[in-house]
Amino acid sequence: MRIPLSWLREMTPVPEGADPADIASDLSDLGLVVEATERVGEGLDDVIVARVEAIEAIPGADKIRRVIVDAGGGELRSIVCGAWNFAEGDFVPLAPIGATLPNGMEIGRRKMKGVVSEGMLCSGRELGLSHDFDGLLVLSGTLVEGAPITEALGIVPDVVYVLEIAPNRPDCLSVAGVARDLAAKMKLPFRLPVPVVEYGGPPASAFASVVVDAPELCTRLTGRVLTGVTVGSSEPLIARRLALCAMRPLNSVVDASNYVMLELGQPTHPYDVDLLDGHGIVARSGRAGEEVVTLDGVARRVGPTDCVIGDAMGHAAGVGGIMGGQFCEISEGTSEVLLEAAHFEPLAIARTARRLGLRTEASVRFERGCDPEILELAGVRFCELVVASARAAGVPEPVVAPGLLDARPVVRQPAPIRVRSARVNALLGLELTDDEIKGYLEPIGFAVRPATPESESESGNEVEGEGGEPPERGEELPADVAGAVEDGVVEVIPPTFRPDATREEDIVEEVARHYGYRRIPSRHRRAPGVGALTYHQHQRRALRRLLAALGAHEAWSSSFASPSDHERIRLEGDEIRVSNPLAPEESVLRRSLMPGLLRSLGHNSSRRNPYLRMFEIGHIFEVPVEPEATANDGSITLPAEHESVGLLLAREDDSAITAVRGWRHIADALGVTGVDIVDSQVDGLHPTRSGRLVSQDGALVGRLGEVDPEVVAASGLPHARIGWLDVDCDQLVAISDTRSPIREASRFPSSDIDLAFAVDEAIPAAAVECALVKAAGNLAEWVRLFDVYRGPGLDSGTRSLAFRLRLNASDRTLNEAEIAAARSACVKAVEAELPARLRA
Amino acid sequence: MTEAVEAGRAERISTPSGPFTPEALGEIEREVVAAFESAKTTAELDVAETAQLGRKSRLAGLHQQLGSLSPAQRRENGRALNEMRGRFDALLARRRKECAGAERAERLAGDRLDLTEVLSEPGLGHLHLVTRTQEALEDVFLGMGYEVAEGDEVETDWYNFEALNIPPDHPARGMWDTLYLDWGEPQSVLLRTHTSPMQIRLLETRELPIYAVIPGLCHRRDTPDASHLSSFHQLEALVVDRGISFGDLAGTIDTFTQAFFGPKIRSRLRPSFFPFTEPSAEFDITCTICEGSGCRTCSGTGFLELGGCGMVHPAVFEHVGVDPEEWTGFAFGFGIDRLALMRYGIHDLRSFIENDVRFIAQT
Repeated sequence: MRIPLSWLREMTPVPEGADPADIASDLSDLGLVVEATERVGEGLDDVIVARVEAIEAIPGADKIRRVIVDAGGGELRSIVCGAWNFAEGDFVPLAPIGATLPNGMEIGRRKMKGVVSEGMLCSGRELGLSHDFDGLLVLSGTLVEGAPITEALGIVPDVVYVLEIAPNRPDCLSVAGVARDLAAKMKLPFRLPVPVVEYGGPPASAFASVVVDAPELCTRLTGRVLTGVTVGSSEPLIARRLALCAMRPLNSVVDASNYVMLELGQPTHPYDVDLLDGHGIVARSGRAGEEVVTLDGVARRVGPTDCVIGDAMGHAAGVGGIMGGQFCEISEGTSEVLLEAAHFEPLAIARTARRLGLRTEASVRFERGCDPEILELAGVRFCELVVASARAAGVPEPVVAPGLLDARPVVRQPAPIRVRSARVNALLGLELTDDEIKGYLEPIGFAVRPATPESESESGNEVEGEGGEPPERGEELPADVAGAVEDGVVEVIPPTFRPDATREEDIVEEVARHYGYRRIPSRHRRAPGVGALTYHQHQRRALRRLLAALGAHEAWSSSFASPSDHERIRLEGDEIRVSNPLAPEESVLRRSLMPGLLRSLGHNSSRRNPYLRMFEIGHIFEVPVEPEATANDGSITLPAEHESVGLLLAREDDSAITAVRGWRHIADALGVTGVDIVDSQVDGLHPTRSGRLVSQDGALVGRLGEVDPEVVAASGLPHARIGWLDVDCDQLVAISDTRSPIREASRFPSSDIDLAFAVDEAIPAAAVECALVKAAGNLAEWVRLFDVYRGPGLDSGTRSLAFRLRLNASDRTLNEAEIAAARSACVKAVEAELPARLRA
Repeated sequence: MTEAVEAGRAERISTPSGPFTPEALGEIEREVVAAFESAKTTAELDVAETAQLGRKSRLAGLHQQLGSLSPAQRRENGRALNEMRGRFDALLARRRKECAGAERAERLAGDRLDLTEVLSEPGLGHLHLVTRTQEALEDVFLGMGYEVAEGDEVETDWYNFEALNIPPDHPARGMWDTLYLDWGEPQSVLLRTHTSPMQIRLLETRELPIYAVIPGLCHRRDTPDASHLSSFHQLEALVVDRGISFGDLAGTIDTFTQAFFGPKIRSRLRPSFFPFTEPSAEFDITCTICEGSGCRTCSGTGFLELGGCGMVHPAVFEHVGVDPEEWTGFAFGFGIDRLALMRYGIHDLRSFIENDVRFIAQT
């Protein structure tokens, strides 16, 4: 919302000497965030009004033309100009040679395509007078060539505040709302405009009618009638203010309507009465299949939940509260105007605007909530402005028909809110008295009166939950927050322009805003308990550090993927689709960390850093294996979401071997035992160099091995082999155990035995190791595979696996006989259980 | 002992022992000293020691002859021999030390390593800057006695919006551009736009009071640029207890910003609007670049916008069956990524998702 300071001053006497920066600071402290403070209308002293006498083409130039202007005193000047939005006879701003524009541009004598330019014709943007339209600022009204533009347009230096208005403050989508809040903050009086209009002729009801057929969509519909209207240009002040607020001036009628909206926050809509069949308007719900052609020329389909403003004979004259219709638009030939000022149900407007994808200045205001009591003022103010423009333009003044057409099926008064000073003080940590609270609320339109027993029951009916509490409730609050005021209960009636204020807490916020957030004293409160990470969080931190110690850099990649990412790593099954993705490559939820890590590797690879290790800990998503039917309580079975860790090993010597070593380090560091590496094919991994990690109770903990060479090639990576490991964090932490009792080291000497077996290639080394561990029983301190040999001396299809067992007992030195017995038990067990034999 | 040494000794046995004259003793002493001084290694010293001081040495021979002398002569010559022997032992110890030192020096010289000629190998990995920042933030709150709570990225409309006092069609929904999933009823399942759904889940499942921080990844339908990512990490604090006030909120934010950024960084609150808090505020912190004096980063204001906060809206409590008369609370939240950006002087948030090793390795 753009708010000119001069406009604020019409409603509250901000001192002339006030620093605009201080005002900006006050606005921000009120929660009206000042995004920018623009100074306008300064530095225009050199710019004068010029009349376009002739426009000539320049040979060899198709973007610029030569314009002959009269800049006063009968002297004609030749200006080269690149704008096309004006005609001979128009008045335009001229910056003569030597002038300096507000943006710092100095005008010199220039020659373009051989034509000398004696100055520059200016756009509104170049003059800092308007915003986002191109071309010259074509001036309207009665003008004199050579006059200073400041004089001709009545420009005085001004300040425009660009405010960001929160959705709960529809009142501040207007100059009046901002002025009211600011006045209270600055302790200044505030007053709404008091329009003065002369009425004449037959009453409004003789020309038009208003009817509400759909009170659930439109709660009030009013109309004002102007006759004898000459549609022309607006009074310069109106046009200028609209431009400052980034609205394009169109004509005296439409401009007046827009002006009223900016000033009072009430959108209105003017109709050409002659074009309304039956000379009236009806607020009704849309009919099935009905179309409305709106002002922008688009046919929009409406339905029973949309409010349509129709004429008395059933034609759709606009989508209520959002955009007017095309056929009854104000045009130069309009002579009788019906101004609609209505109040619509906010949720209905929000629904329709969203469904039509049509967000307008009107819809934004209506869906946030307008003031149903301002309609009369808005209508009269509109009439005053149209009359003023006619007077300024020297055309016959329109006649304002007496009487307000008013259809109001629903009258809603704001419910009184019981406000306990103790509650205010408890929530804010202050000690305000009832009078102080009243002092903050009344200047912003909230009525405050003592609570009476009747009003208590009344408010109990109106306000959900809060109001019905007995007054003694305040005394039940803890003593330290009960505040200094006893029995302090007041009844607060919010103004009709504050539909957001419905509960006690809303009033608390108003008090806090006007007291000043920054003045509320800080308190330092600590939690009563001890702060500690959960075991899962603790182990995840340990895992991160271990992975970094293994040389892997931590990546963060998108939670989204494209289906082709999953195809590339051969992930089958259903995708979880995003309904409204930003980009096709983010159209589904990722089901693996591999595509993201491969992409990051690709990024680094293309920057000459291909050989590195990376990891990521993040969520992956799957369609649940057995989707449950919607539960009775209405809850939905959501996609299965898992925290996963992915480790990509892409150094030059990395492979499935380093992936296995990585897993062993992880298991060691996190105290994970009993997980088997089960040889199996895994999507996206090398078909003969990968496996699954399976826990003792059969749960899939993770997968490891090498990325399928085809996947590596398809990713455009130069690596011969890339190791891969992914682990489910929940499974990992569930079997991680760093809290079991610790066994003391034996004080007796240990003995080693080495056993080499010729083992069938089909038998995993882990099976031999397992048999050895079992056979050695609790004498085995450890069993390690220390050599693998293939070659002469072995039958084909077998390899030699050499294991070392370290034997030890906690209570004695093992003797020769015990060691020999253990050795033969081990050999016997392996040879009996597996196709393996001890090598001589 | 080798045969050669045995032979050497046998040879010396034939050397006749001289009388106890000072000249004779002096000659022996000169010979012994010369033998010890000229030995170059500990091994040569060993040989010299055996030859000069051993059982078959001239010195030993003199000792044997003492027995045949008169008691007076025996006493006098014995003392002279003992004194001489004491000098020999001291010399031998000194020479042993010298030889051992020289030998060690020679041995180590061959073992020399230029410590700067070590080949480089791949180094350690590094944690992501966002992880580091998040853990540092978690640690601040752990120190204040909070727990760390986490939730899922996929949420229902109810947890993300409705329970937070944002009903369907509410204009405040425009504050979040939401990504929905093709899952269940249209627009019923979405990617959380903030960590606030965890407020509801905590209030549903935990006993009060609650002092928790909720870090997590959130998603909005925003085109990424230098200061926005469509996916971002948020950290939210939720405190619900008896007698919690807006003053506690202001104080807690101040405590946390000072603990994280240092004592020069203060915070301030400005009125704002969130459907799930009332009163609501935005909080700013002293600009971390200029420390409040005004610079380009803070547009001359001395402050940087950090996040939103407020007192938990009673409607939120009512949605989860908590009595807002007995319990009050506050919540505040901000972007971890943006905070990391501010703290480390990074200019483009997109650096965080490129995963360029040259960037990560600096953390």
